[in-house]
Amino acid sequence: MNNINSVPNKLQPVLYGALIMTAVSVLPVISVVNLFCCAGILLGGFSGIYFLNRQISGSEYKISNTDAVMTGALSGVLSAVLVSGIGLLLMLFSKNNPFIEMNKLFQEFNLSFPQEVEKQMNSLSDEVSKYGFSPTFVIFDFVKNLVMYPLFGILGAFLGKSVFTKKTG
Amino acid sequence: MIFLAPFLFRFDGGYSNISYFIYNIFSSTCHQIDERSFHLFGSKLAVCSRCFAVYSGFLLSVFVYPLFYKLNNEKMPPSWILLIVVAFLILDGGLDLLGIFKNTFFTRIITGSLAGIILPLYIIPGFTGFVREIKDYFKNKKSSL
Repeated sequence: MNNINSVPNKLQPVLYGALIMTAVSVLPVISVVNLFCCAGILLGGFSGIYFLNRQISGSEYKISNTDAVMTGALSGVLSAVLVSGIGLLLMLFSKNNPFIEMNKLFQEFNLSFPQEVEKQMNSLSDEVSKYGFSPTFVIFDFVKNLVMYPLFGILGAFLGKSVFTKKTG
Repeated sequence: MIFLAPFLFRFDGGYSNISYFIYNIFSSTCHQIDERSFHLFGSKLAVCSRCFAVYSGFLLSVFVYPLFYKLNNEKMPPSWILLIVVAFLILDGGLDLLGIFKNTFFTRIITGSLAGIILPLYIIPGFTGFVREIKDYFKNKKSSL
């Protein structure tokens, strides 16, 4: 049983993990990491465990699987909120309508959506013109992130545990 | 879902909405670049070729896992195996990005599927351990009452 005094502060690794996930998802150059599938989100969970492991170095505390799940999931939830929030702010403060821009891009590449998708895009675009952002898209994006980020965050945290816990023995 | 997206993309009505929904779900974890993706029914799959290989390898490994390990196994393989596989994945993508080496569907499939096959060997023991820890927690709580 671990001494209560040796229990690390678990909030800090969660914050660092979430910041890394968010930075990789939002910043233009760093987001190249996402070219490797979900590597950016995995990296967040992975680094959360790295920071947790750094805190406990020298103590008898051993990172448990529950710690890994909690760190990955909470980093993911926090990052999902941040990424969706930043996306919403960008939409609100951007002068361009992102859906019109996307349509233009598709036309440039001679691509077309099926009629229904185009209708959906137009309705999202109308929402942006009306409110300055699209509530439907923001809610959909948030729910999607809320599922994907914690899931991949947990996977990253397990990988982190497998790499770092053996070092502490 | 990866196959369903291009299949439903061909149809009008609610089906193409579902297709758009699936593409959108995977967009946060994959670049979905057309020329780096496999195509089905004239449309790209919901993820790129590398991600497709990772997911396929992962699925295969999950199915095969019980043949090689006990389901209550909590021991993970040495971490250097994971690091080597990830290094291959990064080299394949990174060198292409830097213009040193042009990766192909073949290299993306090989490096991706290797990573997909290896990942469950770390993740399944982790989840097994997590479930055991939760069970122990409730057991201890019950016995202390």
